Amino acid sequence: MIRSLPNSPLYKYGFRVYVTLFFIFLLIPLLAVSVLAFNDTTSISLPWKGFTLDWFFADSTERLGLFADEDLLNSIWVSLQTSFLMATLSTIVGTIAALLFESFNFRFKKIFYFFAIAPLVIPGVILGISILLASTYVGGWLDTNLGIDLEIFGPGFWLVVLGQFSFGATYAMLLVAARLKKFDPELEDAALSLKASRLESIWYITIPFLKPAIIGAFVIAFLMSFSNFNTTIFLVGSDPTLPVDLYSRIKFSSTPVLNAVSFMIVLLITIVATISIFTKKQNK
Amino acid sequence: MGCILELKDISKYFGDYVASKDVNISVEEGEFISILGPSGCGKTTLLRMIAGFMEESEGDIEIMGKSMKGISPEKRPVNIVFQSLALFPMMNVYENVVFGLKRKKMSKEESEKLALDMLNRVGLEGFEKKQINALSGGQKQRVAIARSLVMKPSILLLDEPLSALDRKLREHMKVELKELQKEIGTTFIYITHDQSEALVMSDRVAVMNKGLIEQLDTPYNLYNHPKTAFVAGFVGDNNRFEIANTEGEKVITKKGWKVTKPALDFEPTVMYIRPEAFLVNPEGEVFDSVLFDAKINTILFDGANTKILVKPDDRDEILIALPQNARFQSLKEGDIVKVAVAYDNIKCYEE
Amino acid sequence: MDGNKKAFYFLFVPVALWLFLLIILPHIDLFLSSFKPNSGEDTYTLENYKAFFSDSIYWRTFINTTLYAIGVTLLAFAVSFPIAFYLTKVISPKIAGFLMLLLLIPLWVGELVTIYGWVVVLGENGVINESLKYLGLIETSLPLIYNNVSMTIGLLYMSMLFMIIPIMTTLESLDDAQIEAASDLGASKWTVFRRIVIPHSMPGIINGSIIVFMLVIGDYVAPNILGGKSSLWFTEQIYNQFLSTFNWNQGAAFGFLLLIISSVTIWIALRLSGQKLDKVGE
Repeated sequence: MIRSLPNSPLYKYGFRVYVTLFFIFLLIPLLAVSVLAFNDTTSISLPWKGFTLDWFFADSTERLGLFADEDLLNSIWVSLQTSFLMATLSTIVGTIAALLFESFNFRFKKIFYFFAIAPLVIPGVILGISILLASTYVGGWLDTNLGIDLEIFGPGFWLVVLGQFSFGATYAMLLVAARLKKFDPELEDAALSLKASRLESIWYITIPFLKPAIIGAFVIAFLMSFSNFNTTIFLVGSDPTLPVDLYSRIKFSSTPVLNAVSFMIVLLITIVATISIFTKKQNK
Repeated sequence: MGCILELKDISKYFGDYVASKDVNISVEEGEFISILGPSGCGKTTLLRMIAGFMEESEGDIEIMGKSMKGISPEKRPVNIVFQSLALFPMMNVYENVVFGLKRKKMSKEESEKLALDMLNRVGLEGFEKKQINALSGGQKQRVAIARSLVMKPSILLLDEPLSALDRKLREHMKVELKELQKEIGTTFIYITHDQSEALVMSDRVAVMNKGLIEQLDTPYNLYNHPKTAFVAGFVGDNNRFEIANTEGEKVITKKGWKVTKPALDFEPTVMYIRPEAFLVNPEGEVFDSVLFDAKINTILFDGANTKILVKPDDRDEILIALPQNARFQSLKEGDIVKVAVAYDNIKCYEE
Repeated sequence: MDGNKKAFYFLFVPVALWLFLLIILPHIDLFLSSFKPNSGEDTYTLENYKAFFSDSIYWRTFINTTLYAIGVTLLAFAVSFPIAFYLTKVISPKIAGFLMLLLLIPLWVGELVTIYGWVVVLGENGVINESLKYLGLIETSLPLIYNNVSMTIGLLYMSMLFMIIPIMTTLESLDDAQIEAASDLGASKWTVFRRIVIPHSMPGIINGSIIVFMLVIGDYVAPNILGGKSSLWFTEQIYNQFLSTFNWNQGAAFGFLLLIISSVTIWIALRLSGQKLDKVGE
């Protein structure tokens, strides 16, 4: 039943059929939208009416292509900014957390660690509403009692970043910690004996060692942020991120420009995925 | 030349386990001191306490008269060469060597000069840009030493630095290290389980066993006047005999060999005699010695280290060093020879 | 040990801030808010929870969602396991690498695009319907979308990917030689599967199931876009309370109930497999 054993043709071909069906199932939605991005029609689906690039570039009232749709471009831009900030924040705090839990012992360490990995098993919805509730409460309190009215406490760009960061740091921490476990602790001792302070030793010796994992964590966090909906929806303000914008368009006003956006996303992700698999092979 | 390092009644416990007990060592500036002992005797623990990675349970460590209690490694005037070398793999040779100098906030020109100079001294000129994993064992060794020595420490600690090298390289490095130490003058504290390393390189050696210092002495004294049975057995080759009882001035081994050993004021349990202490077919008269006949059982030819195995009374087996000169070339297995050993060379201990 | 302390606080403070401000306090607030009335008075009440239990649409949806989530999890396992097995044990590593790439793409593209893709495929004028019409096999469109089936497809789609990866990880550690040995001793494929492969991959199966269950039960997009009027999903209830009717405290109660069911199920699953939470992290 495995590659090193002889298998009956029925088993082999049966398996192959199943796997093929599976991958067709997997790729159909993505292929469909990608191909239909070039369909010369205002319907989001078939029938096929000819090839066009309208849904990317056209700028008229009947057809607003991706690159002419200012609202859509704006939400893409919001998403890029959000994801970049969130990924940066997540990677930094995640790396710090990995170092903290791996190198130090302190009271309540187990409890802290429990909370650090809790976001893995808390549905995104819950993270979203809990942060919304808490920030609104704090914002309200500050406003009524101290007259401070800060934007950050209400739904908006920064709350989205923070909300996504709350679980992004968890994933970053786990990715970095996996690599940290392979680190030879004697290297840090050597640095100390060469008169580096503990922080210097971490900065000059441990962090360079962790670099591949840190980069990986950044990419993963970025992707998680870019596609996030469940948490983001509760925290968005007037400027939606791309997933939020897509959602309202799918529900209320769908045109093939959605296909165009989807195609671009699929294309980008394919490139990123290919690069990441190649760099993984190289790192090994 | 004053006392640079003093270990006062150092003890270290891990729960019930005693890693060190009442260790007292006084090291003079410029000395090459080895701590010698089998695996698990506590020597690495001792080193880590001196370096500051471990805190002593009892006692005090003083460097240049100042107590090191509570002082972290990066603040002690000590540098350490690790057994695994712990070279930084993401840096090249130069960056490794200059690392410590940069932490001292030294200027670029000055640190560069010192680093290059040190690389020169250890014979690695031109190696600056090489990556660590491109180096041979011996080269890595020298980078590790250069990295620590460039810091001009008052004391350099070395944790079995030669253990990963092959024999020929090890012999070569022993001499190199000794000369380097003499040239630079830093106090070296050297940890090893290889007694040949300790004897060859050191001014004094502390022989350690099960957390205790058995004897702290010059290599010559350790070899010729071992104070305990452990030292006698551990340092150099030795013949060991279990003692059954005494009879007047004679000591009787468990296998029945009777040996005269005058002026013993305790009940010995074990006896050691060096292979080279036995004289074979001695010429002229011998005084204050035991004399006996023995049959040569086996000749173990090993060039200059040739030894013969004899059995006096066909019971105890004794290893005797046989000098390789014309006098003994005709000896064959089965020959009967006369053997003499001076009373002074018969060492008895109560274990 | 001054340098050590300094390093510790430098690392500890950001982590503590993250955990307190973004995880611990918000969840405390969630808990407390669920006991506050929707009128805005500053008292404590059980009215939100009473509303949940008394209005059958709420708790029916809740139970429905939970059972459905369990069902989708099992389905995801059934669908994914053969694929995971195939990729780790049957085909060569080179091809497996390429297929892994194909798996990653839908994963990273995200829910919105993939669910939208299904709308395009299953819709009234979708790819399937139009193709069948074109081939002359049907005249009017089949109702493939806006029902429980399409919703399940959407949920299953996202789940499979999260199920495959943990299983692959544990399968990779299964020594081929064990299967070969069992085979050599006369075991049938089914026996090998049941007695060797499944037990060995249990940790991966449990981990995958935990992640899938949590994702499905908390999903909004698939039920909302692909589901029909009758497909009630509890997350939608939470969404409505927060973004439609603005009964935040009511929503908090619902959220807290969802959190409980999610946590309890995960706890049971972890107990069953004898694992600890920190092993779940990839």
